Amino acid sequence: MECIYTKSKALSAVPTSFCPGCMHGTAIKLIAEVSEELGIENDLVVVAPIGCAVFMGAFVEFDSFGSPHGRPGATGTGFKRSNPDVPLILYQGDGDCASIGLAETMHAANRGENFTVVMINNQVYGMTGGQAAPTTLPGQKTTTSPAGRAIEGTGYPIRLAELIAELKAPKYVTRQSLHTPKNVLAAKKAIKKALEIQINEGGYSFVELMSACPTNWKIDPKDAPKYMEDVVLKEFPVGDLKG
Amino acid sequence: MAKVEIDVNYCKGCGLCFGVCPKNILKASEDVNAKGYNYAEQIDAEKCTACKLCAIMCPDAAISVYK
Amino acid sequence: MSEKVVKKGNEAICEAAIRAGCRFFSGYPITPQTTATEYLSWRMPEAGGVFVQAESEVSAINMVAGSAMAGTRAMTATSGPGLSLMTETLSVMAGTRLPAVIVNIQRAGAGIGAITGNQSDFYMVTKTLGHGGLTGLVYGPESIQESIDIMYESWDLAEKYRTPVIIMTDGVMGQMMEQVEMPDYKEAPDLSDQPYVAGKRKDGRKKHLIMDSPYFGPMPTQNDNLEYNYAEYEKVYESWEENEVRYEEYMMEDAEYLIVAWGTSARVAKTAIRHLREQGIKVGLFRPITLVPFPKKQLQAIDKNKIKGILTVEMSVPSQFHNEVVHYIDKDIKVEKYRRGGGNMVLDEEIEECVKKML
Repeated sequence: MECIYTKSKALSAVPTSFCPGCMHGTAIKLIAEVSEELGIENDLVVVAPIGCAVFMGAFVEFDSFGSPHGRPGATGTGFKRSNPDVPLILYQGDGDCASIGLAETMHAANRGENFTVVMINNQVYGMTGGQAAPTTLPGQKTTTSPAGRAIEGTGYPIRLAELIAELKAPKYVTRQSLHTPKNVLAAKKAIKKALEIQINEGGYSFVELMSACPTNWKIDPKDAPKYMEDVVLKEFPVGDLKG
Repeated sequence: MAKVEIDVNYCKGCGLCFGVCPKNILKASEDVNAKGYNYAEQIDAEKCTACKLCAIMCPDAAISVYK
Repeated sequence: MSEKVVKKGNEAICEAAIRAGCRFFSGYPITPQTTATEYLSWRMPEAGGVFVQAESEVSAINMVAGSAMAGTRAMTATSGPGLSLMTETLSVMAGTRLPAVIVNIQRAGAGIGAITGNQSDFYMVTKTLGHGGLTGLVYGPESIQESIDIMYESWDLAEKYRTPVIIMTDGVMGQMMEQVEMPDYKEAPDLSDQPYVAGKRKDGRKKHLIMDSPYFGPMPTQNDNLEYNYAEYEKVYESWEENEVRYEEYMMEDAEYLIVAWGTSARVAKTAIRHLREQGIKVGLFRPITLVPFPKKQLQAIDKNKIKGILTVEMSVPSQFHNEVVHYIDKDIKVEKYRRGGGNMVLDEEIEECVKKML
C-alpha cells in the first residue's frame, strides 16, 4: 500500500504540547505542509510570540524566534527588512495580534511589510487560562467575564481581518476556519496563497484562522466544531476580504 | 484496500476525527497511551476508503493514510 | 582614511554608526533625539541600509531586535520616556543575548520632565535592563569625539559578548557642534551562523530556536536551566569588571581633592579644575567612561592619605551617580555633592565654589 497522507517532515519528531482538540496543532501542521509543497521548508522563518503560539518553535523544523507579547509586527519588520529574501510567517494569537499588539499589527499592515501574519482566533487568552480577549463573543463566559462578555463596558469582538482589509497596502486578507476538513483544506489553500504572494510578488498578507480552545471554552473537543459552526462563525464569517 | 495508521503516542484522544469519518469507523480506545489519553482506533478497517478526512482534521498529525 | 568634520553630536554619533557597519535604524521622534532620526532617514538608505520610522519606541526597539536576529548591525536612539517604553525588549534582548546598540540622548526628569539635557537615566540603565536583573555594557562619553569612538567599536563589543550596548549621551552633547575626526568605513562581519540569527540556513544546519529565556542546557528542568544559564551570564558580566572597565584620570597625580563625574558634567568639571589649578588648588578628576561595568575597584583604591575630599558632580536631582560613587569610596574620605536638575546645566563657577568650601 502507498502512503497518501502522513506527518510533514517540517514538523519536529515530537508530539505538540497543546491541549486535546486545540487547533494550534492544525494550523502549525498546515504551515509545515505548505512549506514542503512550496519547497521552502529550509528557508521559512517563523516568529512565535508569547501566548500559546510561542510553543510553535519547538514543534517545527524551521528557524524561529520569539517576540515580546504583541510585538511580532515590529520584530518581523526589522527581520524582514534586513533579510528581504527570507520567507517569514508571524504566527500570533488573537490577544497578541489584536489587543496588546494592535498598533504593531496595524502599522506593519499599513506599511505593506512583505510577510504573512497567521492569526489564531480562539476568542480567549489560552495560555493564561481563558481570560476574555478582544475577540470574545458577546455573552461568552470567561474567567474575567464570569457573567458573560457585556457589550457595555467591554465593547464588541474586534474583527481584525476586516480592519486590515480596510487598509490600502495589504495584498491578501482572509478569514478561514479549522473546524471541518473542508475548512481546513481552504485554510491551507489560503496559507499557501499568502506565502506565494510574499515570495513571488511581495506584499503583506493576513490569514485569520478560527480555532477552538476546548480547555478554556470548557467543552468537549468533539463538540467544538458544531459550536464554531453555530455560534462563532456567525460573529466571524469566513471568506476572503481582500485579494 | 485502504487503511489508517494512528500514532498512539501523538494522539490525544480529542475525537475530532470521529465525527468526520464518513464510515463512522473511528472510536476511542479502551486502553490509554503513555500520557493517559484514550487514543483513537479504527474499528472496521475494511470499510476505510482512504478519504483522508480524519488525517486532515487531526490537530496532532497523528494519522497516516495508506491506499 | 579618517576625516575631520564639524558635526552636531546627534549626527556625528549616527555617522559613526554607519561607518561601524550599522545597516538598520529604527526610531521614533523625541526631543532631544530627533535630529538623529532625521539624519539617518536619508543617510542610512544612502549607505545601503534600512531606515524605518517606527510607530512607537516599543516598536522601534523590537524592529532593532528583529534586525539583529537577521544578523545585521542594528541600532535605535531615543531619550528617557522612549527608553522607558523600550525596557521590556531591552530585558528580552539581554535574555536572548542579542547584540545591538541603543543610544540614549538624555533629557531631564521623570515623565515628560524637560527636553533639555540632563543625566536622569543613570539608575535606569546601570541597575538592570528592564525586569529580571540582566544587564548590558553601558558607556557614558563626555564629548562628541568620544561618542564617535565608542560607537565605532560598540558592535565589536556587542558581538564579542553577545550583549546590548547602551551609549548615554545627553541633550547638550546631542545638540552641540564640534570638530571631530570621523573613522573609516568598517565591514560588518558575517553573523549568519550565530545561534541568535535566523534564516539563510546553510545545508545541514540544524534549526535555530531563538528564545529570550534560555530554557535549554545541561540541567533536568526549564527552571534549573534558566538558573544555570543566568549564572553563566553573570560570569560574563563579572568578566567585564576585569576586562572592560574604562575611566579617565585627569590631573590626579598630585591631586589633594577629587571631582568624580561622568559625561557632560565631567567635561564642565575639567574647566573648573583648570581654573582651580590656576589658583593653586590641587584638584583632579576621576571620570567613569563605562557605567556598566562601573569602575568600582578604582574608586575603592582612592587613597584617604592622599585625597582630602571628593566632590561628585552630576546633572540629576535627586542624586543618582553620587549615591553610587559614595558606596565605593573609603568611609574616611568626605564626599560632597554638587548637582543640577530640571534640565539645568552644571556650571564651572559653581563647581569651583563647591570645591573651595571643602578646603
